[in-house]
Amino acid sequence: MKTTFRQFIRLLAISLAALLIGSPSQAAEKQKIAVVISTLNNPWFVVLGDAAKARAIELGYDAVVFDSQNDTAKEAAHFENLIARGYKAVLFNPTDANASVANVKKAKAAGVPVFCIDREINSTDAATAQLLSDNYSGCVALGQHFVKVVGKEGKYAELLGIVGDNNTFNRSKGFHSVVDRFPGLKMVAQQSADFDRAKALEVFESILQKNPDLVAVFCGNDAMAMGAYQALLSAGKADKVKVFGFDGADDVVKLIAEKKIAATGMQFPKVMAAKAAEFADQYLKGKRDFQQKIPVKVDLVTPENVGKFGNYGKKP
Amino acid sequence: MPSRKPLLIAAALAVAGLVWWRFPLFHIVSLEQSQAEQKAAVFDAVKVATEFWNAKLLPATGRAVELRELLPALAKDSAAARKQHGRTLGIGGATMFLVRGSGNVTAVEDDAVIVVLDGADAKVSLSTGLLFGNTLRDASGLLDVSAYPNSQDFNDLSTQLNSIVETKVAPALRERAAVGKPIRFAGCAELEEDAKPAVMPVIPIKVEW
Repeated sequence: MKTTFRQFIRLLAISLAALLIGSPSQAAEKQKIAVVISTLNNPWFVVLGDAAKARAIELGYDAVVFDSQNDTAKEAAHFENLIARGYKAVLFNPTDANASVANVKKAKAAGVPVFCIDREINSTDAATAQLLSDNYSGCVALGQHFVKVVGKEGKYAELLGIVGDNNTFNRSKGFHSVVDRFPGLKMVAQQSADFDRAKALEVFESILQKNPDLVAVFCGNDAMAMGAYQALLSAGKADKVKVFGFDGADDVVKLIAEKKIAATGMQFPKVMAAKAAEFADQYLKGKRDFQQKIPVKVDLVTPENVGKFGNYGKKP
Repeated sequence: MPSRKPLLIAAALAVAGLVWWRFPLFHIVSLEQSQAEQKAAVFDAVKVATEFWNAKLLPATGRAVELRELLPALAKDSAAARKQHGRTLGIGGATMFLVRGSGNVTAVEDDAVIVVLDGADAKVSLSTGLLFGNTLRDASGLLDVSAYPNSQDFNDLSTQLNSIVETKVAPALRERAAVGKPIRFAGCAELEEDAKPAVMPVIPIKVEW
């Protein structure tokens, strides 16, 4: 019995020593940065998440990507989890401009800074900074190009993104601020396809059946533009209806080069993601004075200038 | 010894009452008050744009850069001139300028009045057509995107400011413009990163004859 007790004490002492010895190495462990992305079911967001993670790792952090699957409940669970697990900063692509505010505030209350990328939250005192594509200006340019190539008359359709996301309406409003000035251009259908390729295919097939005389479709992102293009191919109308997207996804840029898609707006996911990681690094090193909202320019990509673009950005 | 139970219950009730008073589960407000608050929460882009136009943008034209100085400076060293006289919103955006100048009208086109500047061998095109984009909102640097929780509100300001020029400034300019007539003006201009236009496009905000 005595021997067993001594063995127990010895084991306890060894465990304590191991813990004590282990502590300094744990202290030297890298700090963790979380990358929370609205959905990884879209190549553009995969690029955004991967670029944020890669830059955080380059800067000396451990980085993990969390997929919210466009679900605010999943997003909230990720925030609970990452706060509990001691993440030091969050590079955040929100799911919903309003519903995501609470998550950011929770992180802020726990002393974890949040840097929004690409999508904004409707608050100026929750996130440390927000790096946002200038969707409105990008779609003003896209709208002007639309009028130039489609002309001042004709029927067109619009596929909207997720209705809870400000990007959806900044893009739509930018586009309409131009196109609505030309009364001969009639929008005959406007439906949401949730920024999703498969849903866009389904929605646009139905729109095409009801409106066989469409001359163009404006899609709030490139995934939906690919879905719409696929629907046009199936209907044998790919050369009759001009497709306009937004994002600068590689597959759409390639189709613009082949003159199969009319234009897109090139956002710069790698630039935004890298900058957000750099902001997090600066914050963790003591910087506090960040501008709350930082718009990032969007470039119009057309068959005329497509050679300058690729790989989710501008070619060097 | 008397039981302490009633005292403990009373104390517990007092504490609970205090907590409920401090952190009530709900508030009762009148329907009128609630509707008034909702109305106040809706961003009034027309009102904000009009106030900005009158109280900030027009007075700021007094400190606008003279085009007879800006244009040679841009030709000499574009990056330095943009940095000194212009402003860019965020990362990679176009450079915006608040400008002024004087000269003589040389042409009146469908959607622009062309002016040759005094003291400079250069022309500007004062827009009188449809306006798009954020030049009027951003050129003065007096509106801060970070002050707007929802960027849709900030973008709505552009639409309203464009509308002020289209409906008030441009019609008056078109009406009085004639070839050879001297003109003084102030306005907003936007140059993309690599733009070197032969005729500088300017959106007029103030015109004097």
